[in-house]
Amino acid sequence: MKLAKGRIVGLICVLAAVAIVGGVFAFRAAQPEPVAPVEPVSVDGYLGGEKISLFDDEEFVDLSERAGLDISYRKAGSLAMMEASTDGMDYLFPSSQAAVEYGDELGVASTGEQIVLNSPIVVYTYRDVADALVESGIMAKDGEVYTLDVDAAVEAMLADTTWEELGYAGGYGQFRIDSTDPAESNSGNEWAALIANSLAGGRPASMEDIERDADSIRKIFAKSGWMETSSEDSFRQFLTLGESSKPMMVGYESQVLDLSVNEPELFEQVADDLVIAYTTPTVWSTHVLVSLTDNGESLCDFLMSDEVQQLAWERHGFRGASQLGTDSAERFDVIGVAERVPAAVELPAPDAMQRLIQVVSGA
Amino acid sequence: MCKPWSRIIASACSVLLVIVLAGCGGLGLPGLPAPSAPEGGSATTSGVSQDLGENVELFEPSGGSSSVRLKIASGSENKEAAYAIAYAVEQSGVAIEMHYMGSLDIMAVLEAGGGDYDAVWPASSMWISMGDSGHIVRDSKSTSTTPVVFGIAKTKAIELGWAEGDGTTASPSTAEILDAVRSGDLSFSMTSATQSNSGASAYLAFLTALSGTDGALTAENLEDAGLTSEVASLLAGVDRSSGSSDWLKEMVVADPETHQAMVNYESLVSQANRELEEAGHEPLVAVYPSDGIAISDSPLAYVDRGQDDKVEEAFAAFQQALADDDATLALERVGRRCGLGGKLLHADDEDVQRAFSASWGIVQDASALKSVPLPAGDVIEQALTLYQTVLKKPSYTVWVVDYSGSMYGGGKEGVVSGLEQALDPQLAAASMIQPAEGDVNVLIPFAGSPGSAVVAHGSDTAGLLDEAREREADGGTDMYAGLLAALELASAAKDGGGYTVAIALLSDGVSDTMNHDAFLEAYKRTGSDIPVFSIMFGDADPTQLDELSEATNGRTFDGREGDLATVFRQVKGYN
Repeated sequence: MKLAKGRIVGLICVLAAVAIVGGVFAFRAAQPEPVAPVEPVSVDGYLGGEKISLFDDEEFVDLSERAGLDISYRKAGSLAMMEASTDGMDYLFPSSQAAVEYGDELGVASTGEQIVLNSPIVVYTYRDVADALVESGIMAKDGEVYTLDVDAAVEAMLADTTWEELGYAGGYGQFRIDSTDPAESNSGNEWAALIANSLAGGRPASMEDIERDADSIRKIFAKSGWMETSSEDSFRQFLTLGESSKPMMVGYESQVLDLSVNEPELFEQVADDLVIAYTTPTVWSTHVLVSLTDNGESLCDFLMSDEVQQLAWERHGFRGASQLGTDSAERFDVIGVAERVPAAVELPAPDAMQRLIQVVSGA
Repeated sequence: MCKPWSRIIASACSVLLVIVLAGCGGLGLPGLPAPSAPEGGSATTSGVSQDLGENVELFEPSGGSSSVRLKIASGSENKEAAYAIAYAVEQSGVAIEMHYMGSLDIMAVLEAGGGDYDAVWPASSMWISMGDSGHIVRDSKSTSTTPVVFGIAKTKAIELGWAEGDGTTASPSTAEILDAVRSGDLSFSMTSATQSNSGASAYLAFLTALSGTDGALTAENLEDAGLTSEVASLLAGVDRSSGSSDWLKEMVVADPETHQAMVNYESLVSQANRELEEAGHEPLVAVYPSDGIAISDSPLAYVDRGQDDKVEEAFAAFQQALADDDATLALERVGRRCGLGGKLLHADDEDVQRAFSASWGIVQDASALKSVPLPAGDVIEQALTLYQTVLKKPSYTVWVVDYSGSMYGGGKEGVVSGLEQALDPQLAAASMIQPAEGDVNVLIPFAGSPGSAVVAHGSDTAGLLDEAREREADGGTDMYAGLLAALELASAAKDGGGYTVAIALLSDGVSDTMNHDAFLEAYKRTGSDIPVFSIMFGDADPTQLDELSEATNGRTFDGREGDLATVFRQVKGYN
């Protein structure tokens, strides 16, 4: 049972988070309503694309105004923002702890780091593809919820298996799972970590493992060729180009939930066909707010408020700091959303993640 | 990952920006008086569109009362989306200034920080991702999709065994298309892969399909001599090139007898057919290669340079209006697909049915759109350089240059600097128009009579450029005599079959006419399709030049204002 450790870690995380958040709620409930200052505080920073829809939400903007904040952002990939100039910036808001650690290595001067939002990494696909892959054992279906076996997928990609051999006639050439550029963006990066762990026999890949498996890892990403640098762009490409061009794409669970609420007409076009496959094992995207200034700290306090946490779940599908929604996933009109996403796997250590980024960049 | 190319482009960026602005016939230049908005009521239809010169078009809401005017760097194929744009302008109350250029120019605009553009609208997301190193682009949304296909004259397609009498088409593999080219049964026109998205996409799809990798093209594939020679053979089938997809379509429509096939967007094949059938010609049928489709996703995105909030709000309003039911209907009526995954949103509409007519071989459902995975950014860069320097069909260009007295001073300086931008290997490489090994460039200077021709092979253009610099501008003007001399060389090169051939005429266009008829008659006699591209200088009278463009299916460019480099770049993009 190679997942046992991951399961325990995941469970502890959830329990700890629930306890903390519960405590925060209790504490906040006792505070009086703050009075909005006259002059709003300008806060600017780099934002992962998948969170733009939250930051652009009118209610979010209203809440921020009431909290006395005027929030701006520039879109950047989680790793790319760590390398960008932070002149005049108050915050970085990447999608993973690994990116934050990468930033620490690079000497990003943060004043605080806080996990604000969570969303599991999933693989988006279409019903035809999913059903073929269930048949060939790469995916499984339990009720309406699909899962994707990372080990089986990695094996099939390394064997140059074609879509046709897997029972799906609609795809071009070899079976592949597209993602964002793992050297620039978090969802691709965490996908690379899952692949590395799988090749390492199901435990967090070490430097040595990654060194040994470098060619295999490169081979898997070479199948995709072009990769977007933002998870938002890659999810849009998946939807726009459709099943025949982009049969499978790594993304965040929050993305389809957000789409269903905020662009229902667009969602309706794919509602019956789109499939969310939870990866086995699962990896979570932890959206960490890195404060660079006092204003960044104020943004952090604002994001952790009940109102924002609730808004982030209900209208944008982020499971909040607790890894749970504030209520049931049934609130979304999306088929096959898991109520709980239990098996959280441990990522490779920071030095191994560094090496992994170099490997996928061709070094 | 696009760093190497960024570096190449970066040096040219400041130049390119000027170019992009100057290419608009000067009217788009900042500082010049903006064309005044029509006063309330002068617009009779909903929305007003105003042509601000060759590459700029202004759309204003009726009444012209909008407070914000967005400047958009757009691919030329969006000229065909004018109805939808006019509608969205009316609906949102936002004025739109469309600056048409190649998708690769748009990438360069982003590389340079966005210039003074508020938004970009290239043919493919790839150019935004490759250009946006400064993270200034956001809210990118696809406006529609359309695949890059072969449009082949119906009888020709039937003859090739790729179409039925009712217009239904087969999907040959890229290898089968190559066979048809090799056997001399098929030639086609296609835009330059280094200047335009449709050409670049098709070229990358050819490489991917012929590589037999079943996956994305890799750098190793590009080193495979077998593959590159196959692609060179396929490109040898190109009978005419162009720097822009929309102009390629116009050129085919203007002379369907000569141009029996083109590689272009499905939507432009549809538009071409509307015009061809109106003119009583047979239509093209869309042929979808079974293993080599590329798809244009036409993304519209905001460029954040710290503009006022109301600019971004205006963008959002325009973008939203362009995605509503009426706008998507207008887009689908001109052959764009607006549903997710290449599906149609308004398949029930009669005009949409006509645009996606099965008798033109167009496949309405999305099953034909099995696109190749795009190569990684660095592989794309390498592939494009390989195209320009090795694989594209060699070009044979005769530069007929006016050295009459009226060109003395500024006129001659402009001509020389333009020739340097186009022919000096280092300078030209910045815009990816550098002369390839097999290219031939010929200079024919003229005044009262033509001087002797100076021929340059490949990148060895120093002698030609020296002659261009040293020659004095003095004497009378008989450009027709110069053209006669050029025609003789050009048609010999054309008959040899190994080149795309063009004549570039650089003149102020006020010529003696004693050889006028002689030239036009000789041109007709050769019966070959050699375009004359004219570039206007000095106190140009475009009448004579426009007549030449008309007679030769060429084009007149304006070199009188702004930076000439862009004009020369465009001319080179056409062969």
